[in-house]
Amino acid sequence: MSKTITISPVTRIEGHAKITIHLDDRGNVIDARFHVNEFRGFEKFCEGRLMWEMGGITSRICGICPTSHLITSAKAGDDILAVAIPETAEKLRRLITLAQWIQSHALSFFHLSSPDFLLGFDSDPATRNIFGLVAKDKDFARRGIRLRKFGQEIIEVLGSRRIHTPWAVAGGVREPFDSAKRDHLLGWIPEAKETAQIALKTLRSIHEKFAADIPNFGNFRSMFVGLVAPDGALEYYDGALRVMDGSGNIIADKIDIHKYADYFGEASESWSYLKFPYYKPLGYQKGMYRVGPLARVNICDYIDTPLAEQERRVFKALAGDAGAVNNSFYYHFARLIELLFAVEKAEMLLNDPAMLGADIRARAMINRRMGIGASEAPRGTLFHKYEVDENGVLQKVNLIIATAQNNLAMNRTVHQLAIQYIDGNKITEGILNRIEAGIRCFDPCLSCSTHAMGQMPLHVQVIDVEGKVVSERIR
Amino acid sequence: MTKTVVIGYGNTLRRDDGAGVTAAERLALEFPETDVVTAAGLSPEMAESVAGCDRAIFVDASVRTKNVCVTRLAPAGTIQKGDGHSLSPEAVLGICSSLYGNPPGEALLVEIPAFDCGFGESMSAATLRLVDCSVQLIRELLTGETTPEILLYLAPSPADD
Repeated sequence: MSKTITISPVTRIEGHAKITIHLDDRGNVIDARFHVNEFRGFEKFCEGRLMWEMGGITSRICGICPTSHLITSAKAGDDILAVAIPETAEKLRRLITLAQWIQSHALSFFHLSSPDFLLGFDSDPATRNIFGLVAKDKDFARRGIRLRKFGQEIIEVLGSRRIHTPWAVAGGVREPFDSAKRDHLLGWIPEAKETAQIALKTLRSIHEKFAADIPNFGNFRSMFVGLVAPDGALEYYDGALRVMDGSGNIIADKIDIHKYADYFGEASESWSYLKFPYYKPLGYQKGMYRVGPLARVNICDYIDTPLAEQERRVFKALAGDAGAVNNSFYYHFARLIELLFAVEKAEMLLNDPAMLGADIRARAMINRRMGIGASEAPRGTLFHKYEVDENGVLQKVNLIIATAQNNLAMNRTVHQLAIQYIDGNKITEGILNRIEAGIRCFDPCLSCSTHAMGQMPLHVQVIDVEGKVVSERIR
Repeated sequence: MTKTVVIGYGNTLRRDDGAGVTAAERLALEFPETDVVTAAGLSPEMAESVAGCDRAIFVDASVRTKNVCVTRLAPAGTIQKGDGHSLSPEAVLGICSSLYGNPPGEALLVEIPAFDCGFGESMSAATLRLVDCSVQLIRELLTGETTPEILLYLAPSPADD
């Protein structure tokens, strides 16, 4: 008799999802699925709007990474205008992109994942949250809050508001920077840098504490995809696509983002609204790839800030003979390396005199009927593709979000964790949380506007082949 | 001088749900010396924003009342029922108390009735009128024309409404 275990909703991720684990009559896991039940339809309802509005519209997709959508949308707009934006505008856009990484990565590690790590997967779910974290380590919690606030502060200083700022536009940005704002933000740097380093130190102890669990957290070979700078450095705003396999071999490089559709396809499954992007040359399923921090730190040749580069070398050593770091648990490590990088890089940019330039916007009419923008959002590579008429009215929109690109890998992770921990009908709190923590490695954003921080409401059902509930657990 | 922080929150894309934000934005224009924060929801960072202030005023839309209601808030010791995608004001106060040890001297929640939370950026006429009422109440607090005690006495609590 086969059974299905349902975990719904998954919390402390962006949006709502459900996990079903399918067992055979002997209690062995035969399948596991990560379902996304939300449907937003942004691509469709943007049709008929003016290209100029897309920054404001698409930034509303998410309350956590609106800036990534804003910047990527502006880049697609630059492409339609066929302009090269002024140096100052590009550097200001780079700074706000780093701010997005800082606030999102800080939220992911300190607020969402740390309760699992510092309190333990088997701890009481009633206290495994921000309050539990505060009770366990006040200084750590306070630092996490401050670091996220620093990212938000940069966004607010540049864009006049913390979320959904319409500051970046096709051709550049709306407002220039000034020395008072620069000095204010520079004042945050020492504390932010120290906090990022403390987080990395804490993570090292977490690696030791969970040494037995870590090998089961999505440990499999896949490809890794992301943008890299022309010289191979870690990139976050521009660059070309690189594809690396699970053995560390670069199998495609310097791919112009305009050719992304030649390399990446999108499949659909009837049981989820989230698409399943894949690497076309290998086909659906075999073409599974991962994006985001784990991919970016794997594929880059180096990081051009000293402290983060030092950490990247430690990270690369984890690959050993495998050639690439394939364990999804190390998303956290890569995320914190990027956090440190973002603070260091922000400091470099803030000290760059070009940031104070007055030329911030190139103005032009519609010069191309199609534009593509790409940047590295906190969770991975984000693409916006717009097709417009001669007046800039959108005829077609395609958005490929980072979380979707990790969809196959997240399903694989759930499957691996279920095989390891599910034993017949016995479903403990610790097992449920390990499965959820496996998903949280990817820090998925399911087009929701905010994060869940409370107790994890779970509904687990074991259903036999006739649809009868034979075991149930509600929390 | 009494240091007050006003936090107006809600989703301005869901019509009346944005009433708290609208009220706070009006107060920010009228009282530039007062710290005013607007947001879609409450997050842990706001614990630092209210730490050490004399008075925190949370302004939110509400579907559980038909009049502008004012209640006094106490810090929560744990996550509240319903805390999910954003925190409750009690949870923000609780984090503030635990982390910084200096929660606001007093904290009030001003609830503005919401009648239409459909998609859109414009508010219903009824909620717009009640936004005016809430701004007037908070204005009197900020200018010292009234006290929280009088306000709590005069304005109904959701339980009375």
